[in-house]
Amino acid sequence: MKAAVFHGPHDVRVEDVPEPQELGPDEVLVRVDRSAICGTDLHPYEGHMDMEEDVILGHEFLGTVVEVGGGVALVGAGDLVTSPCTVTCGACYFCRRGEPGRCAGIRMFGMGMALGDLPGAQSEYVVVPSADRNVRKLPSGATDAELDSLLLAGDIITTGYEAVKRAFRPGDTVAVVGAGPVGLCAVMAAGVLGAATVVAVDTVPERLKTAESLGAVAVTPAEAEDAISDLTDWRGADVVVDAAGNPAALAAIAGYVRMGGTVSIPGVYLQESMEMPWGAFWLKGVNFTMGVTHFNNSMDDVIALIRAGKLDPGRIISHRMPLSRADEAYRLFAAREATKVILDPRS
Amino acid sequence: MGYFSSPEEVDTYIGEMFRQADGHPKVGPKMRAANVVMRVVYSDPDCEMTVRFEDPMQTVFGPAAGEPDITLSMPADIADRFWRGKYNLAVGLARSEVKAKGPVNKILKLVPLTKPLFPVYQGLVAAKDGQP
Repeated sequence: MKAAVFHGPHDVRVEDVPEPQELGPDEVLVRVDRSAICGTDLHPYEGHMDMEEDVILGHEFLGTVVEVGGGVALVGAGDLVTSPCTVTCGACYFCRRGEPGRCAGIRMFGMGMALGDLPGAQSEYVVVPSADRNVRKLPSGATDAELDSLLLAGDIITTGYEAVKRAFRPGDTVAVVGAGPVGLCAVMAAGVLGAATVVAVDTVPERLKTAESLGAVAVTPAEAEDAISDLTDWRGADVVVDAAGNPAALAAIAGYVRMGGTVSIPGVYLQESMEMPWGAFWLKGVNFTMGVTHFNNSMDDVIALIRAGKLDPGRIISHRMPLSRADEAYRLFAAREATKVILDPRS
Repeated sequence: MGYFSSPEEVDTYIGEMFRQADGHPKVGPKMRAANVVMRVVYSDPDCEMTVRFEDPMQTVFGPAAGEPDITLSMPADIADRFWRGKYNLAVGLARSEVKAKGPVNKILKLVPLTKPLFPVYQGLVAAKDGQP
């Protein structure tokens, strides 16, 4: 089968690889109908995260079940499904406490041995382990546009949704720092959850324009602190979502968040240490919440909201390309020339 | 009895693999640059090994001075299966067969460096595997 294979930073090649063999009792084999490139894929692609060679990339996907293991009860051949980008065991201390994002055996598709050695979905076929827990059966009559949105339920829209929901109450002012794909999803989620005002902060004019079209007040970092003060009677934002994963952006949040507000961090930080304005955060009594999204807790909410027509993350998709052009797709996405790229393994 | 007949055999195969890793063209430079000290506590047979991923790399079998950054604990048989490429560390952590403590980001940095060492380990154990 064809797959997008990681060979090193800025080196993704579409190659023939063996089809998955020997399905385990709790696994399903899925024929991938469409997959996406995610910002997380850029961590190894841009060399910010070490990953071994020969890893099949991709963790956002949607497809049709071809074969199920003997112990799988909830889906069968022919079912349209998606899956969280991280699969979790459901049995460990953390899963039992309802914190699957901290699962002791968490595995992420297409991120190599460090994250569980689970081949990715930018390929013709993918295997999903612990399928009854992780796979989500989708409606067979979904429109193409709905499928685009449902595809993103496995990662970015659920990440944005949970980043807001972790610390939110209706009527809040939510500031989203970084209007990339996850940030735009957080803007959409904040609106659906009932934010009174959503502010999007970014440096890229196109991203700000998109955020504005989603209902946000769009500002640059230079304008952000004053704009948020003006919108909140000088209190600051109740919730600030850091979707940038950038130390300078995180430090600036000290000026955006209100006393006792919450900074929710879905952005990824792999640095061993970094300098932060802890005095400002401490004096404001700011709460921090961060870490891997608990996809298994929030994904069903998101799917329901997409099916009800209340969330439409598919609208941020900017490019559709055949899997055979994955190398070009990665270059475009890394250069921020594409907001979201869908790869079609069938063309 | 497990794969290793004595603690010394753990050093002969796994310890030797780490010593050879220092000169491995692909992972040697990255391992020396990692600046991490890892201790692995094996059971059955009970023994421990400390690997200093520094320049120069050092592998000490038995008690070693200083506190490691990362400590892993596992049965020696599981270590053998891992180095043969037949054991998934994430699944092992979920089953509590493998335990880890220390900064997760340092562990994540080391794991991808292990794969090129699988053939080195397999080469070292080939003679033992061939014994009746």
